[in-house]
Amino acid sequence: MDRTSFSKWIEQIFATQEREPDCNLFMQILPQYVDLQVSGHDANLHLDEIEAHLRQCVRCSDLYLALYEAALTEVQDEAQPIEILSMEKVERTRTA
Amino acid sequence: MTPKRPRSNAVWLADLVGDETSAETLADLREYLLRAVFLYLDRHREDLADLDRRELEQLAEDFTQDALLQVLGALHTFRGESKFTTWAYRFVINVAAGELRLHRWRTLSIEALTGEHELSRSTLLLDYEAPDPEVTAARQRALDAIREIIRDELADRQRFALLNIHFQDMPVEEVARLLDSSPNAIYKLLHDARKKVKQGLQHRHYSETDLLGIFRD
Repeated sequence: MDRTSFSKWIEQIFATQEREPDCNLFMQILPQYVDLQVSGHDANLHLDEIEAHLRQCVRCSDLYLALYEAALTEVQDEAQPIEILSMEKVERTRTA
Repeated sequence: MTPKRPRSNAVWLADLVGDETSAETLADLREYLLRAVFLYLDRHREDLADLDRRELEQLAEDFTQDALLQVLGALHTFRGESKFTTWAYRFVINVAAGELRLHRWRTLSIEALTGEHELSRSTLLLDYEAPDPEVTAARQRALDAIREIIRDELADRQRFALLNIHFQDMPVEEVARLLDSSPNAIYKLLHDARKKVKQGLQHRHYSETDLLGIFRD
């Protein structure tokens, strides 16, 4: 482990809380949290639990980022004419 | 490609639950999952940058097929607290992320599979020496304290999980497989291990600020 990673590990250790939501609980509340974020509503619901878990779990942190993008893309696509709701649009975005 | 129409949660469930699943709804769900996982593979996986579009699509198809079965099998657990599609996306992203983590790990290294690491200072931190000998000595004392806590105060399974996941980048799924456990149980195991390391450091009068200062350049 390099120095930067080790310092992050120290921070991770000291950020450990007596009680933290586990992955299963995180998975249950994450979709609702993401929908609130994407829709621009107050996402403070569950914020402490979400952040506590994201600080400690790389696996769930990756899931959160990908889920957010998928949900955001769906909302943006639904605001577009229906004929471009397809993989072709994803491909056009990718090759742009 | 068939255009999709947005559905309410109730319509999704009505069309998917029961003996007569709507073929059109199933096809649309598959398409939603396919697009979500394609986005993930394309935008979040730098390790797949060498794959062309066809190969990415094939991967996306494979993951979607697995995830679709999981979604259909878990419909009874959907509580309606989010959009149905957001709830379903996590299955396909989980499938893809889990498979790719395992593939990457198995490709990169089998060294950590035994868990027989010697817990040396350099296992924790590769380069701990500083120009000032006193700083080097302080770092050695801190690393020795951490080694002592990990070696003497963690249970065997906690030590195995912490060393392999935090210091060897072994995927949680792989640790779960080796310990005949589940990723969620491994998270709890790691949580207990982190608590013990934190308490051990505090017991030895090391604060976060102290340690970050000791290892700062």
